[in-house]
Amino acid sequence: MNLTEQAESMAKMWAEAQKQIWGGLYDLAQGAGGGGNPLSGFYDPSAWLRQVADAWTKGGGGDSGQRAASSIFASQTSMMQFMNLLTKSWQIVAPSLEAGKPWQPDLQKFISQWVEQITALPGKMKGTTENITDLSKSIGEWIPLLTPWLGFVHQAIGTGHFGELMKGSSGFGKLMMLEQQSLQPPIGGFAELPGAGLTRETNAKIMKASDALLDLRKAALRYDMEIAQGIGQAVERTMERLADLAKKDKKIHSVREVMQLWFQTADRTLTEKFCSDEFIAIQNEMASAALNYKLKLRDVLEMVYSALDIPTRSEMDDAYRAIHDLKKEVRDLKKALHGLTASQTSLVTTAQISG
Amino acid sequence: MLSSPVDIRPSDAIDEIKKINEKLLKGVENLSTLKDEDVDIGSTPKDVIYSQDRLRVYHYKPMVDKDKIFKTPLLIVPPLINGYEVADLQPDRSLVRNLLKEGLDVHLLDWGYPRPVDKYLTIDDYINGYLNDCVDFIRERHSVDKIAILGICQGGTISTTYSSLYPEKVDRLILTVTPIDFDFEHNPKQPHVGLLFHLGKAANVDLMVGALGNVPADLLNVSFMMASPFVLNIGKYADLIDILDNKEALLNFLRMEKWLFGGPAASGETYRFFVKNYLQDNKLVKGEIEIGGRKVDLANVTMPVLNIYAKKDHLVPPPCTVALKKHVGSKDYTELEIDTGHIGIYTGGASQKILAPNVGKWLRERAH
Repeated sequence: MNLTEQAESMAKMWAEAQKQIWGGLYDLAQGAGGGGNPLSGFYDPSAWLRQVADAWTKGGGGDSGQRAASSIFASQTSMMQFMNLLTKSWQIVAPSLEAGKPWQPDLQKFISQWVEQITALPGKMKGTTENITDLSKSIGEWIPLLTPWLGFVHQAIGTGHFGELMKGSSGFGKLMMLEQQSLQPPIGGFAELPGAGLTRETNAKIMKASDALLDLRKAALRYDMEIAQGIGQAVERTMERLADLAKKDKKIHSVREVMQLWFQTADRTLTEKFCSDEFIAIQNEMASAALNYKLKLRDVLEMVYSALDIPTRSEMDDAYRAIHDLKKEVRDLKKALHGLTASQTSLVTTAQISG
Repeated sequence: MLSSPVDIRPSDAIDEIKKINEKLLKGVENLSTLKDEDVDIGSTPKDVIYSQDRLRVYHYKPMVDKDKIFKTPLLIVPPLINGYEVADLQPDRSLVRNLLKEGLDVHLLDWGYPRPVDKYLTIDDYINGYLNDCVDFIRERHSVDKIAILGICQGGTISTTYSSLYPEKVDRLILTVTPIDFDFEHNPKQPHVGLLFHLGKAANVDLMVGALGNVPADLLNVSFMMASPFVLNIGKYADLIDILDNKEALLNFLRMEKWLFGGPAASGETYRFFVKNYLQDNKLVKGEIEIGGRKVDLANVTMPVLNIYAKKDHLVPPPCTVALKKHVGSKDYTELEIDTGHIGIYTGGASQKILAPNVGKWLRERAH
């Protein structure tokens, strides 16, 4: 078998292995009382796994147990996705490598196409709601690949949740689906509340919050694209390492070894990217957009809460500051009193001794 | 003719997957039987001897005969941004236990978990307020003028600052993986080393604190995770499959997870001050930090200092720690390098036999 045939064979083997993995997990789920079938077209396998993990570990191991269970299943899903990407990439590389031709152009074309699905988004962001929804769906297909890293970041900045990312309808998926209907209830609907009628001021605040949300969406997409490009670079480097192994007639004998090679290469590639000024600027832009959105949303809420006689955030902040200052005063007074008592005790003792 | 480097036979792959599925099943069984209290961290027996607001001071039960206990009490100061349990993660991986076995009279300051109402707590409140009050309490309780302090990571930076402001109350200063000089020259060949500081230099901390109030632990964890995104987010859990059927090993893994992801938020104003003054402007080594109207001058750190760092520390690279030597006023300054990483220094197997025994030895050599 030549290299191309071997690559084809590897792809087939991996497709079969995936069936085995999902089939095995399905059997496990049935045994544990889980429902659904991950191989059915009606289910998102990642969402299914997440549900199964939740059901299995309900109440077990506390938060750490739940988190670990979710992460274990998420890692299995991610590994399968990466194996798919690597297998496809190797199928592209193998014929050129065998023919002694440079394989990089073909691979780069494939990777560019992959990244393009994401990089095409900003231009289309200005389009209709339908377009955004379609584009979000196309990104959604790649979410399992981007999940491990993006998930954590979005969770941290408050735009999603790592575990929730496995569901297309929440977390990162939600962020991607932030079309008009999801914008309307939290912000637009406030104007309809009694006492918070649509004035020029309320309208301006709502518009600012809407603009901030759009900025956040754009910044988050730019960030995700940067990560996707980083993953593309990592795939290319992994292929280089595999090509090098082929030339040296060295072998990898397990799926795990392939994954280890991938993890090492991907970590190295991404951390190099993380250090670049360009990436840091993009990351800061996303963080700033998320924080700015939070502030603008708060402005709207302040207005609404005020109208409903509910304490606002700025009123709470004033109270917090007053509590802080008072506590400090009490602490200083206690300290002064303690010092005074100590010196009085010392004076009495001295007097008693001299008396 | 070239042959494929991936030489996995279908039967082997299926076998590998079958084994993974079996382990998953066993692991899930194990996970579902565990309770949150099984994943216990910080379990070494202790008493709460002092409390103020959310802060607690623990006094640990001795593990040696009374006559072998050091006269000078030791206070462990953890970082504000991580749980104290890193010093006492599990019984066989515990700095606290190991120090007790060395005969030290161990106290630990648990800063607690700031709530929204604590967002205005300043570094002045933490150092001149809480820490100083704890030190005074321990001094009075033990009728001593000075105590020994052991700082953990950022807790070491705080301890160093405190020692500069109150040298008369600190008998010995022990620092572990402590950032002192935050200007680290980033080496492109080792992109993960010092990445945390590199990213922190450009952070818009005013916007962060303005929008969030207290800074959530998860946000801080992002920076830690960025040093190894795939291994820490996928690889670690993929490898976990190997120990899923081993209940004790699984528990230990979960203990670390609990500590890692259960950390406290950082009080907003303190975080702002620390990032701006210590990290971004590197003012500690420049002698430009002012707290509570007093300048922090490292030349005032005149007590004996033991500065311990981890050779493979990528979060606080060794040069950031050992820079202290150039700035302290102490004539008795010792460094100890341990061949491990930032967290491994507390939780690593090999480190258990190095860290606490060396602290004990260093203190014994300087006993009054």
